[in-house]
Amino acid sequence: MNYLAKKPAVIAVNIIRWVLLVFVLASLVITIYRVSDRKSVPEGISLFEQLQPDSRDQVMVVLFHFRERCETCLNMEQYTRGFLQDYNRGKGGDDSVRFQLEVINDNRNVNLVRHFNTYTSTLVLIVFENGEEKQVKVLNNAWQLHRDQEAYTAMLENEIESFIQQHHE
Amino acid sequence: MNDFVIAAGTCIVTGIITTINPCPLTTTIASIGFLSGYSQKTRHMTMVVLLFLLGFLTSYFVLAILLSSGLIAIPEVSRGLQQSFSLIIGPLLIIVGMFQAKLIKIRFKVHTGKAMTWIIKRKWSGLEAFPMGALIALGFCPTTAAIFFGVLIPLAIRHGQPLLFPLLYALGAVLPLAIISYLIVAGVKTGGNKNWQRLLPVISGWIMILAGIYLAVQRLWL
Repeated sequence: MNYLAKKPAVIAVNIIRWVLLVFVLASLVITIYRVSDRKSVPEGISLFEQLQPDSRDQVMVVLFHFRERCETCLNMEQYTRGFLQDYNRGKGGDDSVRFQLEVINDNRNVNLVRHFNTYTSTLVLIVFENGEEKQVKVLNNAWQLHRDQEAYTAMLENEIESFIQQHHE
Repeated sequence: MNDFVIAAGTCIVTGIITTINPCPLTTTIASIGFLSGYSQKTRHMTMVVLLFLLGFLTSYFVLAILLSSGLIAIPEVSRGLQQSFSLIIGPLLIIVGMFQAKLIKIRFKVHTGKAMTWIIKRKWSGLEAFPMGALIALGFCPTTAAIFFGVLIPLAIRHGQPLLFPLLYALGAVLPLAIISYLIVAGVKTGGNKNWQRLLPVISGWIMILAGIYLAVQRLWL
């Protein structure tokens, strides 16, 4: 009688145990697949070919972030997107400064991570001229302002203005 | 000297900020679950906390040494850790949580030698706190990666302190975890209800399992 009363609980625990173990096993398979995934960009590809801007002469703001999104990079994306919308509208409506997202822990971006020395959510300003990288600025510490939209936007405006001005000089 | 003291203080504070930051909240909850699971004896729990801290310290120290000696580059390490340790933390927490919640039991039937028999007879479970601390320390989230690689490592290199500064950072990171775990255990013991004392490791185990499922889904399945 006692055994019969306990049986449903034992069965439930066994089911939970095996469901969890199968989930762990499946997760480990995905982990191994992700770790061993060696998809990469072709050797010698240029930054222009990889980032694929709209035109051969383009100013770009690239936000590098990890696949796992968190408050820091989500805020940075939201602030940057909002600022550039207003900025581009003020410049006549076209995408004079283009915004792009790139994943740091994507094997296809290994060369970009090395090139720009990014280790966390990072903004990179790039000027392409005639399909070639002419000027680059890496804003490594932009993440520190991710909780202050006003300060972040002011910093970004200042950096973009001086960056473009430097390019014209 | 003053500059050094400020830098050392910064290491402790950044360690605390790392833990109380919302970004690694799931691993923080799991760590508290792990530590408060060893609630049967306070002395035993202190030992577990120290081993957990030692795990944290070892990981940070090894990283600081490798980075400050220039053997590896910060972007490579940050990317590599996100590609490996961050992914494995979810499944690992589930397994450890299952042990803690007694969903898995290992029965030693093989001859394990004198040392192992002594450990098992003394019911000394807790050695796993060391690798657990080491792995959790390496499971950086974007914000903790920014703090560790962008603030701590440059500070340690600038002051030539690849051991002391990571130690202070690890202390700061483990301090909130230890305090909350001790408070939980003390609260349950003060309540005097034997059932709660017996159930605490099981509840802690389930907290770890849920945290592990959340991390695995977030980092692997989505």
